[in-house]
Formats: sequence, structure tokens, C-alpha cells
Amino acid sequence: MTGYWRLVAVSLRTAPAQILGWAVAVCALVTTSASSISNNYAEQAERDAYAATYVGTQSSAALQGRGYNLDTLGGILANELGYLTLIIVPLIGLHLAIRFTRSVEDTGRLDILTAGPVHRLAPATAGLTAAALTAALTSTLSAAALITLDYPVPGSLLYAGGLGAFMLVFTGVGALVAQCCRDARTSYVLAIACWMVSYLARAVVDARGADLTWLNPQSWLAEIRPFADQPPLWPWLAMASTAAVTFLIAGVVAAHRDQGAGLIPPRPGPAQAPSWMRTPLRLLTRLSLGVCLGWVIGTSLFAFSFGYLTEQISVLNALAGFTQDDSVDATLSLFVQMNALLAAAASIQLSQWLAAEETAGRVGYALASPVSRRRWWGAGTWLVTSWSLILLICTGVCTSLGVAAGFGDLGYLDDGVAATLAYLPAVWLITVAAVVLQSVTPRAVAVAWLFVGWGIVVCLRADMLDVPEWARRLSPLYWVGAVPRDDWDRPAALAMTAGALVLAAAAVVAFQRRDLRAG
Amino acid sequence: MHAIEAEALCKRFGRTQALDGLDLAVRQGEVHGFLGPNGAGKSTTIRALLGQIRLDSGQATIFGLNCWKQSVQAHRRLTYVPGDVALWPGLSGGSCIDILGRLQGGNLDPKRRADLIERFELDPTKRTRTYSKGNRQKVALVAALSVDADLYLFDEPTSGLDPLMEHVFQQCVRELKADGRTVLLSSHILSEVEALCDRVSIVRGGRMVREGTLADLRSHTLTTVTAITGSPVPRLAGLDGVVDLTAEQQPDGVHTRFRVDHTDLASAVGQVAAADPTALTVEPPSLDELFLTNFRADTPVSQGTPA
Repeated sequence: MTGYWRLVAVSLRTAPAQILGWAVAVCALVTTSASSISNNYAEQAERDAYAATYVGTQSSAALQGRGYNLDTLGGILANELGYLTLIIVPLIGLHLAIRFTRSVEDTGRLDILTAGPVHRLAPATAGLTAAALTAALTSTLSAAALITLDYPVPGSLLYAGGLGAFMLVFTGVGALVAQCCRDARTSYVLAIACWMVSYLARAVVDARGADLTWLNPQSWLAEIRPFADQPPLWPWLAMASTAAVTFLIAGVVAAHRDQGAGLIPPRPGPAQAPSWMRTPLRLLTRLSLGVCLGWVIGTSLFAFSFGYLTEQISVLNALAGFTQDDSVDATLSLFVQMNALLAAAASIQLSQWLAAEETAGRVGYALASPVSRRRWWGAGTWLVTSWSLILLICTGVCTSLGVAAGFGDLGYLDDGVAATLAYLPAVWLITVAAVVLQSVTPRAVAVAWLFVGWGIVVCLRADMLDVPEWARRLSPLYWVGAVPRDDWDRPAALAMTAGALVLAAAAVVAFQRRDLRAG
Repeated sequence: MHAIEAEALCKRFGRTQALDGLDLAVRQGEVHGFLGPNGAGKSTTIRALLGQIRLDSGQATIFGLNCWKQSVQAHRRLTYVPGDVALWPGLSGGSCIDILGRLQGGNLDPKRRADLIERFELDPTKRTRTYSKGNRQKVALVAALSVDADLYLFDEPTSGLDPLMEHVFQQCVRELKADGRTVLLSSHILSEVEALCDRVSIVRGGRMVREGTLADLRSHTLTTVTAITGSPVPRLAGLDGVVDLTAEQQPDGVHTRFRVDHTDLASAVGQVAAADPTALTVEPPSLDELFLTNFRADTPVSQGTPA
């Protein structure tokens, strides 16, 4: 394929941080978890106890997938890591596939590259090679880390290889989505929707214990059973054939479509703007509406599904001797924090979009009119904070509806809403942090993702990883307390709200005093 | 009061000194050409005028309003076409035109809008993502020209336009001028500048190197004189303004060639005429030459100016 190697070199040189960074991040996660599990379950008796309690209190099978060989260190590791690997590994695969194909095409860089002597399929193949390299690196680094930590060699190789293969399956899905959609933004929305459907389907299958694991790639990671005496072969075949088929279809689509186009030709729009679209706020609302509605639908679905599973979990917990109310509260405090983290993620993504509007030159262009920077900035901040509130309300309502539907008892209707809204100050603080970063420079917004990433770790894994108290306090969600299991920390909530207001005001001042990036 | 007044503008981006003491004055009611090679600081100047960047030093005003502190008041009186037009993806071209007009305050005159869309042959229903560069430029031009402003800032407005549309643009600018509006036109297209501009400013390396009417600028460059005479022309080399003097003996006589600035033109040509030439040509500087002289980075700023 003419030009393939040159284009691989271009991909590697333009985004080494992406290729290496994600692999290192996953490896770091595996390493820290593996070392803490080796310490916590050093004795066989401790592992047997873990396996015994896990059967009784399967409170989170929906979140972490099925556990196998729980009397071994590796089995515990694979099970405990399921919380995060089922989320981040597929998302990394999807992201990199889009990043190295459609995003490059979207920015017009591909037009320059393909003007040279390169094969029609070379850019996409080279981009996906770069994406696949991350999967390979993830496997290699994780395997090395596990073997160094004295985990059994065959199991380590199988588990680490499984992570890479799992990532590769979603790289294939991302490649297919990226070839079909006309721009990177639509690709991301569709790709995340694909992940969400498969994640939720797996959650239902695992919580209900249904015998349908062959159906969904999300189940295959656990089905590898890397630390079993005789690990099955079929998940590997399933992953390999799924990846091969998606890559093949993506290749066929790439070979048959126009460059810069998707499968569906763009429709003409209205010759005039609707009359209500006349202020910066309304303009920004219209521009972000599609993505925001996507977030509302996705997170609501997520919240409802987990709310619905609460009943199943409390039945299992009852076997372990918990009362139903305690069990529901404990489960809910986990799920509502997930709601809050999703709302925070949405507002950071919106802030990144606002920052991209500036770097694209559109903010400078719009502000050549008699619209003050303060007004534009106010509109953006209002938009982001409003959507995070809307998302919290929607997810809270859906969690409650899910719980009520699961138990068939309308008495649970108000629990989820109140508990979710308790996290509003924390979500606003994270949101405003993104806004402040943007007011310094648009490129800095991505740093705010650390709050969400760390928030997930503290919410789901703090005890297992033995995270010290001061480090837990780096997550604003932790300050609120685990509502509804614990009481709502009013002073903390008040302080965070006040802090968010002060930071928002500081951001306005900072934005008024700096250069616009483009325009 | 001038429409635009900028004094000693300085702006540094990291290691690059984008503006290095730039001055600019645009009188009300004139079409002012703003010229310079790539990276000379034209767009940076316009961004400073729009209050998008904060100057390290210097003072810029639009109709007496400070460009940084009173940018909103200043923007009420101006409209802008960026050099690289970025439109909102997902919206149609027509929607973008309306939104830009409404941000300017109030609805666009529908008749003027429709008229401009027709003149620029723009399809307002296409999504902005599917527009070519020229078509994006047309959207920005229609949006700006539909607005009733006192000052029009155009940053290379016709890049990507075909010659027909370029012609339409020139007509629109003439109409603005007839209406007493002020235009700042940053451009690389010399014919466009020559056709439209009353006065021009030439920038290079973040500084103003030349400013005046085109006739003024012409007078600062050198005229080329060639002559054939029976014997060598005496005393030419002694004249101050004569440069690049060559004299060659050929079968038909002595071929003399030199360049001279406009103050010494008469005496130099007088010397040649006294030597009884069989042929004499005097070539005024072409506009291209004028710009090449002023744009070329290695020519010192003072060259071509009478001593």
C-alpha cells in the first residue's frame, strides 16, 4: 500500500502523547490495583473470604462485570478492575480510532497528505495502526507490570492481552463509525452511544445472571477468565473476528466514499435564521443543543438502568444480612455519585467546545459586534452550569424512576432526586474549574478532566486502593459525603457553592483581560 | 477626528515582535489600502483595532474611542470581514448572515440582504461545512455589507473569490465610498488597491514603512531612463539622485541606462538631452515595482526616498 509507512510515521509524530499516554494510564491503573491487591489478599484465607463474601454481596456486578476465580489474586484483580476497564478501555479505543482518522480528515490535513503518492486506503489504515499500537502497548506494559508483581505468567499475559484485544474491538467500532459520519463530532456522539448501549446491555445481563455473555463484546473481557486453569478460547475468537469484521467494513466504506464526506449527504438548511436566535446565549444554546440532548438521553438511560438494578442488588445483599433500606442507601450513594460525575463530564466537554469555538476564530468574529466579552462569557458560563443542573435533575429523576420500577414501589420516587441534587455544589465547582481554566487559556480546559478521573477513582476504588484521606479530599464529590448513606455536609456544600461563585467572577475578569486566541 | 488612529502600536507574541511601533491613520470617508507582505502585522493590527488583543504599548482609537477599553462602543460603528472566515458548522449560510447581523444589533435590512445574496450569487441554504473558501468569504461579505456601519474593516476580503465576484466587491466598496463610509482594506491584490484606494499604508516587520496616496508613493520610487547617444553623457555620475548607472559602447552608439529619483529627474534628463540622444525612454515606476521595493525584506526602509 503506497505511502502507508510514511503516513504511520506522520501519525506517530503528530500524536505521540496520545499513543503512549493512554497506554501508560491503563498500565498505571493495573499496576496500582495489582500491588494493593497483593498486599490486601496476601493469604489464601483472605482470598477465600473475598470469594465467599463476593458471592453473597454481589452489589456491583452491574458495574464491574462478572468475577471468576475469585480465590486467586489475578481473579480478584480482574474483578475489581472491571469497574474502570469496562469504561475507559473501550472509550480509549473509540477515541483513538476517531482521532487518527475522521478528526484528521475533518481538519483538512488529509487533503494535503492524499495529494501525495498514497493509496486510497493508506491514511485510514495508517491511522488505525497508530490506534492499534496503543492497544499493543497497553498489553505489553500491563503484562510486564503484572509479571514483575509476581502474578502468574500465563494469567498475566492472558489478562493484559485481553485488555489490548478488548480495546482493539472498540477501535474497530470507532473506525467504522468514523468512516460513516461526516465529521468528528457526530462520530464521537455515535461512538459513545454504541459504547453506552453495550455497557448497559452487559450491566443488565450480569446483574440478572442471564446466560447471554456471547452476545456482547463488553462481556468478553471477563469471559476470557485469564486466571482459570483452562481458560476458554471462544472469547478470543469472538474478539478477533469482531475486530476483523469491523475493520474490513470500515475499509470497504473508506474505499467507496468521497474524501471529506460521510455515508449520508448533508441536507440543505433554512435560508434565514429563526427569529428567536438573536442573543449570544440563544446562539450558543442552539449550537450545543444536539450534543446536550445526547448527554441527557445517554445519562438518563444510564441512571434509569442502574436505578432499576438496585432491587436485584438489594436482594443479593439481603442474603449477606443487610436490611433493605441500608442496602438501597448504600447502592444509591454509589449511583448518584456516578450521576454527578456524568454531569461534571458533560459540563467539561461543553467547556471544551466553548474553548474550541474561540480557537476556531468564531468567538473573535462574533465579538467584532457590539457584544461585550463579559456578556459572551456570561452566556457560556450560564449555559454550562444550566446544563449540569438539568443533567443532575434528569439523572436524579431517572434513578428514582428506576428504583421505583425495580421495587414496584412508588415510595422510592424522591430518594434519587434529592441525593443527586446534593452533589450540585461539587458539580458546579468542577464546572467552574473548567471555566476558570478556559479563561486563562482555551488549551487548559482538558486539565479539568483530572477532577472527573480522580472523582471516579475515589468514588469506586478509594478503599481498595487504600487512597489516603488527603488524596480523597482532592475530589470535590468526597466533601459532600456519600449521600444518602451519610448525611449531607451542609457547610462543605455552602463553601463549595461560594467558592464556585468567586471563581466564576474571577474567570470573567481573567477573560476580559487576555488576548483572544484567534479571530 | 480620524476614523482610525493608531500610534506606536507594539505587540509581542512569545519571541515574535508582531507589531513594532506601528502607526496608522485613516481619515473619515476614505478607502484606505493596507498593504504588506505575509506576516507584516496587518491582521495583528486589525485584531488590535477590534480589541481582540491587548497592546503592550501604544494607543489605538476608532472614532476617538479606545480600542481596548471602549471596544463595545467602537463596535457599534464598525463591521468586519476576517481574512480566514470561520462559520458555525451545522448552520446554513443564511442563518450565519442573520446571526452576525443581529449580534450587530437589530435585524438586517431584508432588501439589502437579498440584493447582496443575489449579487454575490450565494446559496444561503447550504450548510457552512460544505462551503468552499470563496463561498465562506461571500457569507462574511454579505453579512458585513448588509450592516449599516460607519467603518468597514476588510482583512483580505477577496481571497478565494473569482474575478467576477471580485468585481462585485469592488462595486460594493465604491458604493460605500459614494455614501461617505470609511473602509480599511487589507489586501495583496495590487489592481484592487489601485482601483479602490484613496490612500495606502505599507507595513513591514510590524512597522509602517510608507503612507500616502498612490501618486505620493510613486514619486518616492525611481524612474528608469535609457538613452543612445553618439558620445558618453558627461557629469551624470556626479548627480545625487542617479543610481545603477551603466554606459556601454555599442555599434550604434553609447547605451546609457540609469535610475533616478523624481527630484533629480529633470536635471538628469536635461544632461542626456544635451548630449543629443538618438533614442530616449523614460519609464515611470510600475505599481508592482513600487510594492516590490517596499515589500522586500532585505531592502532598507530608507531606499528610494530622496536624500
